[in-house]
Amino acid sequence: MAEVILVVLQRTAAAPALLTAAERLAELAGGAHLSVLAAAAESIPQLRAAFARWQARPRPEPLPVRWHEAPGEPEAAIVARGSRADLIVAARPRDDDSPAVQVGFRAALLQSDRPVLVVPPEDVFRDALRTFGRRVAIAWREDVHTTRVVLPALRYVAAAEAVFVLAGMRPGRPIPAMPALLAERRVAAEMHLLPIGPGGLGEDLIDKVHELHADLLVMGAFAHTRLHDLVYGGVTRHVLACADLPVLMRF
Amino acid sequence: MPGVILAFLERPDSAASLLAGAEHLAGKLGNVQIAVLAVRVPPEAGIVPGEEVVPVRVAVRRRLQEQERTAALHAVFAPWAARLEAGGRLVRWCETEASTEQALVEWGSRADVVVLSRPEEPSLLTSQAALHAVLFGTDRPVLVIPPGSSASFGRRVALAWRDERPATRAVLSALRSLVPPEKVFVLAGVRPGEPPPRLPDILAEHGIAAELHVLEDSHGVSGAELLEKAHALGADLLVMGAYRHSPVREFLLGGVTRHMLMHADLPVLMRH
Repeated sequence: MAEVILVVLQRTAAAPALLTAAERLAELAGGAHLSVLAAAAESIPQLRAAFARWQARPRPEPLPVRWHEAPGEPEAAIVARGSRADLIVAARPRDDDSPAVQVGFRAALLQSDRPVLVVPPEDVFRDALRTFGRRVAIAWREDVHTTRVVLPALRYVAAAEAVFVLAGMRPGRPIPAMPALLAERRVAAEMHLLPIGPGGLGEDLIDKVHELHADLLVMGAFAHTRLHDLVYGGVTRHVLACADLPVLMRF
Repeated sequence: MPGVILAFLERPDSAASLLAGAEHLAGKLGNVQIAVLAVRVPPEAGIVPGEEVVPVRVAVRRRLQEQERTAALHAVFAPWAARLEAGGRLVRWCETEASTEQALVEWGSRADVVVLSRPEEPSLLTSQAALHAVLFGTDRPVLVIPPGSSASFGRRVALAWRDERPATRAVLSALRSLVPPEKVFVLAGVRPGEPPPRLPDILAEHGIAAELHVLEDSHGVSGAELLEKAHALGADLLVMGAYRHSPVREFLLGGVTRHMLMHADLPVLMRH
């Protein structure tokens, strides 16, 4: 019985970052099968070439990998394959993404029911993607989205050097305590409180992550319906817009 | 960091088989602790606020009854816990005064899996409500242990398959077991005029070999037929999606879920 990580390839330029991150995740999981899905209408040959280059890298042991192509309906394939995987790896959206790529990402995050590792696609982060998972920050909120992502995240952070819990603090509300979920599992985590001001938590959260030199952020993803359209919540939107580290999210 | 199995004890007479089930599950999952939850229901539970006040005398009597019940549960727990701890397993006793549903949702949501006893009689309303709260209020997989069940399960697994989200989620939970089953049977229904079902992709993708058994039925496969087939195959665990009763579509499927919660005589791993 094998753990399965689905890697969603859409833009060719992001493929090396995604495959690198997925390989690291498989290592953190103590072994996993990678299922690589080329989910793009036009650039399948380019994705295939990028995949072949990555696969040809020297490794002590070959990785168990399967290659799939979904030129027809990439969105449906992402949801179908994603919901059967243990975890999905996808590129963080960019402003210059085509609408199809944006739709694909939203399908992975909002419709698959699975945790998604959102990877910064830019080339400058490539080296960091080989080693992330050593200093893990958890953006804590007492709600089901957070619980749903932290429970699977614990499978990948067992060997982390440091775990930080970042919890928002509102004036007049009780000061958040170490979450019971972590305390009862004896996770040696360090608690950091962030005051929530009128501007929300997004920027402060990322600042704190940098200050702590965290290399992986774990957080619940929030979205709500506005006029038939699913809109990301404030912190989710901010993190998706500018996170420069891998973020494990779940809706 | 050990995971958490939450075992909910309710009735002293089914406590031993429930704990045996939790212990067996822990053996399959490896590095886990077992948190055993006993809930004392407060006297005012079930009373609409402002409608009625519980007389002090009645309240005192109900509190005493609840204390006696949890003491009886603890008497079953203590020797079991001592034996497991001697073997190196982490075990905790958690007792709280709350409504059963509230406590189960709170504790269950942050557990990896919840273990409950199947209610012995359909009329046990608390147990039914507890099952409902855990299945539909926690987002977690639930292992339902029938009364008087023998401890061993998970060697021959029957999967009641529909290509829908709850069954997929149930399978992903079942895959957390470190001990692969010897045999996996997929039980899938087929209706006249529909293409015959195939083995679900999720199994092959996770490296599981399985045997397909097609159940023909024009009105959907009933819970009784699933159980009969599972027994015919010598299955010792049933894995299936759980469906709520409310919306029209789920109402139809809810029948199978309900049937299992009342009649399953083997452990059932369910997830909504």
